[in-house]
Amino acid sequence: MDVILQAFVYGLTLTALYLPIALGLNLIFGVLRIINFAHGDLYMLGAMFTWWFLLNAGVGFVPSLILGIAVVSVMAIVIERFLLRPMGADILSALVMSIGLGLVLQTSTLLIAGSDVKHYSFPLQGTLSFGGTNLSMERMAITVLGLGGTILFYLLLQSTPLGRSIRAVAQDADAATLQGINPSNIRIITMVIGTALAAMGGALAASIFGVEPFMGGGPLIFSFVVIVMGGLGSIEGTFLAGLTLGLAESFITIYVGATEAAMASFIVLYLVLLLRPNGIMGRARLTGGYL
Amino acid sequence: MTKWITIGLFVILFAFPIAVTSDPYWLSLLSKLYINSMFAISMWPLFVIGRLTLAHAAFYGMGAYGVSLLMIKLQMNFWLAVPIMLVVVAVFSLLFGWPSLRIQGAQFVMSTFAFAEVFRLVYLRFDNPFGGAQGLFGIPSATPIALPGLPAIAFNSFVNQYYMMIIALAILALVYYRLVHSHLGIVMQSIHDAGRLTSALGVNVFRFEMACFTSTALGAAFAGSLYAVWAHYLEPNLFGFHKSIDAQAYVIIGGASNVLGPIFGAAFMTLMPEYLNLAREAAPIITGSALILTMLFLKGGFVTLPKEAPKWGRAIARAVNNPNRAKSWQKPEPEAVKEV
Repeated sequence: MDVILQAFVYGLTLTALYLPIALGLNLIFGVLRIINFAHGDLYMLGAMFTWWFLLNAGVGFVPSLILGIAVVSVMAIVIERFLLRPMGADILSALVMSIGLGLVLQTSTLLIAGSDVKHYSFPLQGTLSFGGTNLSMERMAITVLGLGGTILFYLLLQSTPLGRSIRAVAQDADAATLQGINPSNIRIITMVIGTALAAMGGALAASIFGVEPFMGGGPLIFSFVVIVMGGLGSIEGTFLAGLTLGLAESFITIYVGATEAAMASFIVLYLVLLLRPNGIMGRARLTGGYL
Repeated sequence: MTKWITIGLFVILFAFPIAVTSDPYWLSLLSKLYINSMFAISMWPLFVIGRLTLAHAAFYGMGAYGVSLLMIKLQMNFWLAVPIMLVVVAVFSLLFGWPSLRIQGAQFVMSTFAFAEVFRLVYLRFDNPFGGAQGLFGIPSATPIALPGLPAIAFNSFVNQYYMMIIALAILALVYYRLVHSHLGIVMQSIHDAGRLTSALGVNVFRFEMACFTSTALGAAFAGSLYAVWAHYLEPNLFGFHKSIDAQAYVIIGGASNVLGPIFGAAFMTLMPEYLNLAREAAPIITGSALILTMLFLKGGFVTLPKEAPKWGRAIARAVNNPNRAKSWQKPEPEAVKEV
């Protein structure tokens, strides 16, 4: 019983940490039509800048977090404007570009900051006993923050004028232009929102796992599986698939092993691509092939 | 023109150990360059039909691990192990390609990514027989060839190994050159340009894509088996999707319109980290920045430089004559690109 509860709580934390990243990646795909392979590295940079501000700027955790997210958001603007936009509508060129960008970001971080794992701690510490299991306050706060950010993002997308514009561009950029929306601006804003979600996820995750240049790989793969399962372009599907996969990964890791859990997620990714290329809840018209 | 440049290049490289140096460092480095070139050139047909794949590190790894295990566990002759492994890889590539090639665009890239990573995890997870995270040690050199009436040729010296690699590369380059410049290659090109039209003309597009996929997988496995006898040591992380990215980058940077493109790309990416004295973990910065610069300024790759350079010259002349021209900064600067 204890182990089951522990696995459940761990799975929930994992979901709360990774869900913003998957949502950001999915949003970027929905609007920019790019599978962003650099997303995991932007997640890592969010954590790295937060750590740097905490160490060097002499401000608390929350201001450092906000500064870190801000720096990565500015990078997102530069990336969209000068690297991704010149690729035009060619999905594969943009994909190659994001792969190259990911390699540059990862390796330059490695060269500047070194490969050692850096730690910082969340301001809230201590444990809470609950039904025979010990829950760390830190993890609970991070879960709440991650899920809170995700819900805020969902509200922004569903019930604000900006969210409506973003959804309009995702559905049909030409029709959105006719309604007076500028798709170029919406693409930049989307890139910033998606990247800021990743940076937030990274900064929160790093207070548990620590910061190192290669930390982006795991969440990136998790996000791939989640957005393919939930459907490229489908926000609700991402929620559902994220929760399912987070819990499944936690249980398989505890009962079988971490390598098997990773293998299982890849096999699920492959099978879903094969059987339902548009995902379980995906909309076909958002994912047109390039032929 | 390309033909004569290629032949001249091979003649010069063939004379290299005799004419320039027989320093083991150089011979070993160039052998590695030839292995990477073989991997790069075997990706060529897939670029002709316009598919990007991250799966081929798995086939490269299958060739390397398969041949090594056959040589270590069964004491099999290298020259027998390679064909056996090629048959196995052909089966795997058909089994994977048959369902996957129905997926298009970015989703196809993600499915190949999953394929490559599953195989990396298999090598990592199963200590027996793959050696697990510690890797696989003690892989012998290629078995000597004993032809009747001639002295046996052993491959444990650097010079002989160098010749083995360059001859293998020459054969592979010729095979893929003939493939791409055959009737098959014309169909491949038309699948890239207009897939639906080709299919309307009665061509079974799917079958051609399968043929391309399997031929590239075989080339990758062949390069992998030579890598095993060159390195004598294998570890799972050498065969993750990063290796596939490298292989794609060789062709993208070099250019897919010409047989020299993949070879140039592989040469650049093998020699540059050595020249800059970068550690293995730091080498991806070269790959990444070369990919970004290529995608921004030289989409056709390095082989289109002679065609593209005059255009830049004219664009720069225009920008200089009219400094107020809007967005003149978007024109490429030759300094930034010559590095590629």
